[in-house]
Amino acid sequence: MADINVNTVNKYFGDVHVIKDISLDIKSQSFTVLVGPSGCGKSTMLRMIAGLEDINSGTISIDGQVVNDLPPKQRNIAMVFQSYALYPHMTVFDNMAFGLKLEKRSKDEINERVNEAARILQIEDYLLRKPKQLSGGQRQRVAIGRAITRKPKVFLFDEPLSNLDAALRVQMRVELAKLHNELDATMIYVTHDQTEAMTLADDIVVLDTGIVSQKGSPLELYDKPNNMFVGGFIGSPKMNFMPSKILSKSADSTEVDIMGMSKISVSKLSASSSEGDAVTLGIRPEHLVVNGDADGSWESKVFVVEKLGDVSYLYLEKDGEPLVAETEGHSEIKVGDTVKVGFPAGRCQLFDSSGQAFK
Amino acid sequence: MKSVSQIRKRTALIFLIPVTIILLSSALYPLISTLYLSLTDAELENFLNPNYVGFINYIENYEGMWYGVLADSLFWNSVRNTLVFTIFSISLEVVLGISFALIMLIENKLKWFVRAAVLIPWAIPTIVSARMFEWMLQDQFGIFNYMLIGLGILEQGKAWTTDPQTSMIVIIIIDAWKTSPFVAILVYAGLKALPNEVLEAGKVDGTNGITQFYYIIFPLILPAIAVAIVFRGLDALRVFDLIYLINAGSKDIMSMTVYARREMFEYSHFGFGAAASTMLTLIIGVIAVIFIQRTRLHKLDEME
Repeated sequence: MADINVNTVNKYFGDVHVIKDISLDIKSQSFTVLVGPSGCGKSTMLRMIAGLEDINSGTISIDGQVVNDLPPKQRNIAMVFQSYALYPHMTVFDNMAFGLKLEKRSKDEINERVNEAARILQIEDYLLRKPKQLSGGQRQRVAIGRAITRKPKVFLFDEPLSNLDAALRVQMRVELAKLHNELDATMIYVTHDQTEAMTLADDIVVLDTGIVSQKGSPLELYDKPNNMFVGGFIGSPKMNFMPSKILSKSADSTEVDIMGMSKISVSKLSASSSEGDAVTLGIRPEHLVVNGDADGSWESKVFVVEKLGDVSYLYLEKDGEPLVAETEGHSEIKVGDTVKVGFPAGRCQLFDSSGQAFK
Repeated sequence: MKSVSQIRKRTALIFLIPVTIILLSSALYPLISTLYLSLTDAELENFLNPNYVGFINYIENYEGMWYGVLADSLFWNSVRNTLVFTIFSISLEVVLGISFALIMLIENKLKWFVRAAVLIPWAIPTIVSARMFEWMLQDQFGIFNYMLIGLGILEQGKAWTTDPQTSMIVIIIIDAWKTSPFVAILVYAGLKALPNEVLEAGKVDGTNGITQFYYIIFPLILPAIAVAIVFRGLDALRVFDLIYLINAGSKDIMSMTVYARREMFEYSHFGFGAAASTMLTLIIGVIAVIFIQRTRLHKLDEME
């Protein structure tokens, strides 16, 4: 239906190279999330697909057609903006009908489509109001409704939930996921929030300073990050990184020494590394074993305890290296206690000195 | 103990005192004294001790004949001239002002030059621009006639500023040339404040240059245009300098202010002139109130 192909695209703002040779294949009807820190180029990428930014080199095609020089309206896309970008002087109905009106659709068809979208989004009662009479969540629905009525092949979302409060964000997130199932359209979604990325995406594209750091399903990125950047970016609280050293290599595993405290044999390999190399061991807080048996362990003092109810996070420190460990919600552990943290070898990641992951 | 809101109200009142005093002494006092003067027979010889005469300066039936400002066809002629001038000059200024503002918006290396060029006519004093146009339009030596004769459009020079058929058009064009920049600045500020994402949403919805202006930009800068029209409208209804400088005596272009001034200071009919001035104030006031009501300008902060 509407595959999107981005082929070695480059974008400069003046002298600043913001998109560097990016190539992406986005499958028809998939939900793809572009995620990354501020300034990584994710919004620029989306705006280039929308046709709101020129492309300096490379091609973008939608449904097999190169769209580099097509204006937005000829790309069969709809976009939802961070600030909602509703037309302040038009009613909700007119906001949603505007695109159809420009396409010179019949009155009946416009009525039908707008009412249909309003029904899906449960904003039928507000159709005659102006945007300023609506709450943030209602405005966001109207902005999405405006996109739906035009029945585009591709939906583009530019951080659509970042202006909403936390509770509403969760609610809208679920509704967006439902909407994607109902509409069968290709959706591309930009966010800096890794929770949104993990929960919504079929595919996540992690961008870092204008390059694709990794593309894959949420669990692929979570379980097998290609590099330290993705490992650190996906997951909250973030992955712990500890300086380590390779002690020996075997056919199917690498034995490392973690800060001279513990030896552990991880079944990951890297051809380019050799004995004695400094590497980084990564492990997520939820995989650390607190006061239990594991392949390697050490003892550490607790500096801070965060109790979230379902889980508690222990903030530890060893020789100046911080470490966060997850434990059960009703843990008896207090600040000042000494705990034993264990590393299950199967959950450990290894990264070489340039940040690339061992496979 | 006083509540916070009481203290706030008192503070507000204290801050309002200076401006109230200034307004009372600079606006209300002259207004009332003019109103009083219009009810007297004040002339140059009895200016300090005029007699109260009621409304005869406005209208009076004396031996079957009507007298007074309201019975003077020249006064109504000046009202008509003022309204014609106001409507046409403002229409022209709004169209030109929006055009200039859109041109000023274009981002390129010449933008500072363009902005300066647009603003210069407004910075030139009226006396200078009036004299400048007078000379350019002069029948014997003016460059305008010279060009028209050179192009074969005219046989001989035309006195554009004194010809009854063209003098009003000339005044309107000079005024538009002079004050379109003012409208342009207000509209430019309105354009600059437009939310960029709304314009982009329009592009995604399929607007082109024309539909974008018609459906999105114009409705959103309408409040700025309405403000410009109120300012320009009040100025135009009180127009004096330009008309006085171009042709003070011509009844074809005589405005209400020129009429009132002539009665007062040329004929020394202070009471009668004051009555004309009062009528002028009344007419402007009524027009302003109707316009502001119609455009709901007083509810501007409720618009968006």
